[in-house]
Amino acid sequence: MPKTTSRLRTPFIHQLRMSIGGFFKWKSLAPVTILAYAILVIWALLSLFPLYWMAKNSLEPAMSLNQFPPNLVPINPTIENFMILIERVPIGRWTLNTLIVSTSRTVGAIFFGAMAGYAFAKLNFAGREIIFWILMSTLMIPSFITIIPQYQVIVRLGWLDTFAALIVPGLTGGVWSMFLMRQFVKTLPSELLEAARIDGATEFGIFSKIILPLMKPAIAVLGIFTFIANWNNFLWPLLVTTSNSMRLLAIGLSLLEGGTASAQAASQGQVLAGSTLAAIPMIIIFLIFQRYFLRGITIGAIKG
Amino acid sequence: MLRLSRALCFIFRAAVSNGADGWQLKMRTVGSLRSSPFSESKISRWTQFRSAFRKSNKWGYLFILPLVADFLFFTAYMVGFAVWLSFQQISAGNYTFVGLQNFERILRSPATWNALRNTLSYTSIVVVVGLAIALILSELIFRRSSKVQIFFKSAFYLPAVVSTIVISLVWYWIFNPFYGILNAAAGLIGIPPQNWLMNPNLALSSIIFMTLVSSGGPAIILLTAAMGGIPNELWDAARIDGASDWTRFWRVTVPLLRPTLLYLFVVGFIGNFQVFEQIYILTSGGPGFPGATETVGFLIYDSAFRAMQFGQSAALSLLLFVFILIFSIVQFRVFSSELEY
Repeated sequence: MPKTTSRLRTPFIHQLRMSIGGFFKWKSLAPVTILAYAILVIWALLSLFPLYWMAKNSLEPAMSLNQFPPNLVPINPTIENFMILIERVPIGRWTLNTLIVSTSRTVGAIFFGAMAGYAFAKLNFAGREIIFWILMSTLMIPSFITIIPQYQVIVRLGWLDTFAALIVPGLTGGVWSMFLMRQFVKTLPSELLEAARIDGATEFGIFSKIILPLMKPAIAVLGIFTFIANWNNFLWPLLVTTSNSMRLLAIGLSLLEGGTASAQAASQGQVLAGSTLAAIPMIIIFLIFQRYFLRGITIGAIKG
Repeated sequence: MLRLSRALCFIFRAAVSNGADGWQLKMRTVGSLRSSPFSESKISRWTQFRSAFRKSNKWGYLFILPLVADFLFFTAYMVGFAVWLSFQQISAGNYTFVGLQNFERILRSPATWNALRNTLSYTSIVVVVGLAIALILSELIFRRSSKVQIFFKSAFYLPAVVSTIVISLVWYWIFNPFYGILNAAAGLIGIPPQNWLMNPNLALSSIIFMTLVSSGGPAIILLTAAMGGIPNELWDAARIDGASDWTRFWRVTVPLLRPTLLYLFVVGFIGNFQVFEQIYILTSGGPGFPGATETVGFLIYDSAFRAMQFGQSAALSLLLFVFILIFSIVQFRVFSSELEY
């Protein structure tokens, strides 16, 4: 249809819709588009609101939190919740513990996962397929099955309340990391390895000098996700830590409320101040590595 | 078991291959699923293995050693230990063999069936409704400009990088019956204040709502990535044939997303069946007895670490595994029959 006639026949309301649409670089602001954006915005608000609420309430004094209806924006922002929390519980120590545990388990998952993934993808050895499938089939085993016996073993080893109990079980990152790495290594050309072998490189040399550097994208993805998963891990660290100074952040926070972690039960503002401190590093990681998350969670960089 | 794990691996691969060539890859894996990786020749497996072993690259064994050792001790041995534990009664550190008594007790206990029912309703709603929402949202953002996509994907994903504990702690105060914002919001649309977490009829729904709102991101990312793998020609063809947007979505997009949807379904099911953290923070399995929000995962924790009934708890965890296994087999059956097209 020629443009002029359509403009002549278009009622005012449609013209308005089109010009608003043009402003936002939308083709037209059709009712369907408006509805679509309405749904998206509502869901985004629902999804982000708790995070906003956490930050906002952590900045409110106790007085203004105990009133109904609550303020939507902080009226008298203060950092007193953070100060009281730091004074009352060893939150710095909890953060340090979480950092130590998450970092070492991430390094373990990357290194051992890459090693096993490389072997399953590129090295020929008898029983490779069957071992691989047996490992894969265990992905269905719920963690609750292993957690109870594991706890008893840790108690008997005398590892309760130590870093060993927090770090060692599952240090190799498990089947999932191996699988991710295998999928990536499979896409690398085998000729590369053949050439290195002819040049007399050792197998470990090939792995550390050729494979690992080529795996950077996969390592980034696995590293980020393992780090976040460990930072947020809850049940196992809850079970194997008993003293206040060995707690990880999430566990310490969960105990704040019941008053187990300090002499006095913490107030809403203090709990949410702690939550904010635990959440901020993850949000920063997300914003820095956004593209890894948005490309397709686990393995955007890995195909096939 | 092996057939099942092959199917699992297939769907993992299907979910993994969501790049530009994802669609073709999916079609290719459909073919490879049917051919068995093990040769069916008449020579004995052992002779085959020995000759293969001689030709093996022995470094392979060294490279998988850490993972296999970790697996053998912290998974295989522990599962065996759990089976053994489930036949024991433990009091004051002494283990006594009691046969099937633990199983009998948990199967007779109304708490077990209550927990299973709660877990099943929680899981089915969170997975099915969650996937439906994720599918709709993915379709809504998929053809927008990349800036709009990045904004909404980030907004939906952000809660997933924050610990469930933190999310639950915030929602604990949102649900607060006296000062909570949810009651303020409900008041605006004329709903009287509710005790969201302490009302037995509401508590589980409140937790489901919280989970749905804060965990859709990963599924949306996977689905939009998989949509990107669908060749444009298919949509164009559908448009030329005069299909409406709705038909195109329902007849072209959804069938081609099936591998990804199935992956999300199976993984979501296995994961959500073990729900624990939300319950631990928000309700501790309550209110009432048997608890209105007590799930199998929470009951396992509760009977092991509060009631100190390790034997019963181990039996319960095996029961959970059996349920997950049965569901996975059912899903696999449904799935493999759908593969025949």
